[in-house]
Amino acid sequence: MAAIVEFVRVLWAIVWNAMALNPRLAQEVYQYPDAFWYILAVAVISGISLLIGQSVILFVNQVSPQRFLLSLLMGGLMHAISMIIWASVVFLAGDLLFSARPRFVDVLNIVLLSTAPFVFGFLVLIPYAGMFVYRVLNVWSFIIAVGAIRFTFNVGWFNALLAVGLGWVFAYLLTITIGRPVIALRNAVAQRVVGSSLDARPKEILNQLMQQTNTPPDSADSTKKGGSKQ
Amino acid sequence: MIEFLFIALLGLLLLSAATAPLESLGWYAGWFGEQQDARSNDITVAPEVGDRPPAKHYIVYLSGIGAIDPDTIPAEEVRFLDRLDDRTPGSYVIRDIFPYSVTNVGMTSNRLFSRLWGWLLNLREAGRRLGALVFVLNIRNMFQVAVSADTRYGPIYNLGVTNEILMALQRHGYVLGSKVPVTLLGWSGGGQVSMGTATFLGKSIKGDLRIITLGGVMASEPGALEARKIYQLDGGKDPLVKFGALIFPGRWPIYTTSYYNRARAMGRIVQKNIGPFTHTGSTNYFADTPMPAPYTTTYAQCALDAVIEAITAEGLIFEGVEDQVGGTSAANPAPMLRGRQSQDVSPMVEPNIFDDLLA
Repeated sequence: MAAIVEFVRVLWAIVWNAMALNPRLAQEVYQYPDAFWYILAVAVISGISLLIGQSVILFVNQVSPQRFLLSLLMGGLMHAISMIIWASVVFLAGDLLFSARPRFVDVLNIVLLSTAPFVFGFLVLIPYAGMFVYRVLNVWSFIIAVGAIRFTFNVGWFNALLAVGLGWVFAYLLTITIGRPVIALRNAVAQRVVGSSLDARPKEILNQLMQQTNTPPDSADSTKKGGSKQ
Repeated sequence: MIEFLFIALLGLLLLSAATAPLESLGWYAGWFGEQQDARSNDITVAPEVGDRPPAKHYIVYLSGIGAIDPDTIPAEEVRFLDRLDDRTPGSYVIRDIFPYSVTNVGMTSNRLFSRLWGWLLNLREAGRRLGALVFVLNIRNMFQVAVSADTRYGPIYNLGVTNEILMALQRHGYVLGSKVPVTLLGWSGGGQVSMGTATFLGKSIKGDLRIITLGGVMASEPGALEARKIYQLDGGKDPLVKFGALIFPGRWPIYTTSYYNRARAMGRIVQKNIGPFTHTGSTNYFADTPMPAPYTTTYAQCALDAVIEAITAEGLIFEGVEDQVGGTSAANPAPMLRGRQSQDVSPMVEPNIFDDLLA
């Protein structure tokens, strides 16, 4: 029990340190004996929390509670994987642009730690203000990454911004080009775990519901559930 | 210590805000909540319905965030609705809807903390200090207004409340598809729920749907285009009304293609400053306190007159028009004119550009 409390305490200190934009963050985390697990925990918890924040998509697709929990775990892992891809691209961009040669694992740790603000990703659920919170967390995460890369590569703000930005753009281009099969695989896994293709969006549902309410009452319809039958 | 308390309270507030949409989302996903279809045939009609003539118009009251459950609305609102009922012959006023739940389940029944809320409510009614904690429910309801206005959750939330409104209408004798007109009367956050539910309600009832908001705080909703007319009756000293117009970008004049601004451009929205009302306190819309000169009436009476005038303008007073709505004759000027002497007295009746289309 004491070990868990200590783990949570250190984890909280790391998250707080990251959000305070400490450029030596990664170096300070390395001082802990279980640094890797702390960093991984930050990334996975961030992924899960963010998915909770964006869970409207799971509810809209009428996912069962069991599948909901499974999809949260899957979301956490996928978040960590996408961070690894982003870190790889940032590492390559830095390697090409700058003279400093940090280890890949250092860049990876920076990128994983930069997800710390998403520990509060569940706040994206907040009605009306949630999307604003999401943008703030994204920008915060980006700034943490830029600050830490600047320190690690020993470059100026502009160059650090260029490396992280290039990494982001490149990762995006990957997803819409050669990354398509990977996304298809991810969606297939999602379909299997969540039990839904997760392709229903609130806006589409609104349109669908508006059309359905225009139809005359059908007594055969009344056995269905309230939310989906209208 | 104070710092810790502040952080704890902030954390609690954020947590309750984040969990606010879960009730409607869980309901939609089928996780919990009763899910009776408003179009099913097993809706029990209230016994008193058989004893009165069929209504020619239904007024559905959606209370503000002070509501606690379908049968408990503040006493001053009950008085207001009783008077409204008296002055709208041919209409039936429905008031047993809790607009802050997709299942119409109030805060004192069948919920996790229902006993706690019930206990606090009793304390408040007994005038005990601890009862003031019931204000936490207002915050909870305020978050539900935000859920209704959110483009992610709004469709689901508004669908759920629409279902409840349709069931309540039928409980009170409404026949779906009968084309009997319905007016949603939304006070404060009820204004948002009115606009949100109008998105679905207009199509379901098949009759004309109108909305009257009293100190309404609302976003731009597709429902703005579903209502035949929207009367926005606002108090001149009501900061929440102004806050609503500010916080929801769809209501900013620069977004000319928003639902709200499109409805406005079509002439469907009539916005009136009905007097120096505040949102809360002794000068709110339901207060039986006298208004300052040049007004010669009480706040509640003035607000009621404005509502009656809107209903009259829509031709929805069906019996004893001269007696009940005497305000429209020359001898007994319109209620709003009677209440005010030197203010803006522009008539609320406007040419409805849809009259030709709907004829």
